[in-house]
Amino acid sequence: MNKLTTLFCGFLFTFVLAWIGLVLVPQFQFGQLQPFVNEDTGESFPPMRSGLAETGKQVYQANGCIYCHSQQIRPEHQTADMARGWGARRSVARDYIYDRPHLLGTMRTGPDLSNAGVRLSNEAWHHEHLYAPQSKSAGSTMPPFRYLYKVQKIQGAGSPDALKLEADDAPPEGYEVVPTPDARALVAYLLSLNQNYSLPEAKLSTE
Amino acid sequence: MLQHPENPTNTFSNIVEATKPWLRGRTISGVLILVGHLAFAYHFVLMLLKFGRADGVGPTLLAKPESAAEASS
Ligand code: HEC
Repeated sequence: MNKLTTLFCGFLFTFVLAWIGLVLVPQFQFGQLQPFVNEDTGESFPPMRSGLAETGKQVYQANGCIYCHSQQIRPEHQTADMARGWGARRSVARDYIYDRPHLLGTMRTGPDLSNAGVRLSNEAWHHEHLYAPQSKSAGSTMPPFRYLYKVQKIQGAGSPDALKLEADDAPPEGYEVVPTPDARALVAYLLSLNQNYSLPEAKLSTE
Repeated sequence: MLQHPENPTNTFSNIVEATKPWLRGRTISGVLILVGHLAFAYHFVLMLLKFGRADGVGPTLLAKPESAAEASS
């Protein structure tokens, strides 16, 4: 057989095998997943995100947060995820049915964010942390995302949204730092990160 | 200092601290591989433009063995 034909068949075999394993089989396993509706309350889980939070998800994707942050709580057995307080139960496939693409992540240079909205529910904290990570966590290797903020001259009483910054992070006298629409959306997304609900396949231990 | 990452008493800030030497190493290796890629791209273009050799035989990749033998003789 011609060498090119062999090469081509090798490529084809590799890609078809990967496609079956990574696309076809998961499609059969998870493709039909529906939200879980609580019969008593009529609530549907996972909850839908607001439009602003959905925009924030795109900011999250565009800024590569996924390179350092995962969004998956692994089973209690042999992992410290729950002991660290990152989540109350393990994550399951159904948690991600509205995420296109999902942002599970593969690295934990920073902490897992599956429940960022539950663990860190203060909007101002997120803005100050994104603007100056080391001001909230000494020695942090998270890069500051200052371009998501605007430094502007203080008009009158100043903006109610101005960040409270200290020492070297503070803007010059007479100026203030305010979030751009992107920063607002991103923080709305972070606050929406919440897997604190029971699913039949992954119950909260309180039930 | 060196503790297992699945040990919950090993604080996350301790883990961040422990990654730093590795992050520095990755920066250095990243620069090295970038230089390698650029060198490769440069030679690849030279090869495509047949600037690679004085006799200008062009790409040897996927060339038939006999024509390669001819070229080298
Ligand atoms: C270079 C890796 C890196 C990138 C990129 C990164 N982070 Fe982080 N992040 C960290 C590290 C390390 C920490 C832990 C130290 C700290 O709190 O700053 C952290 C902490 C956090 C925390 C606090 C979590 C907690 O449990 O205390 C949030 C929220 C967060 N990051 C959000 C983001 C968002 C949003 C982005 C994208 C805009 C992002 N990070 C990008 C490394 C990163």
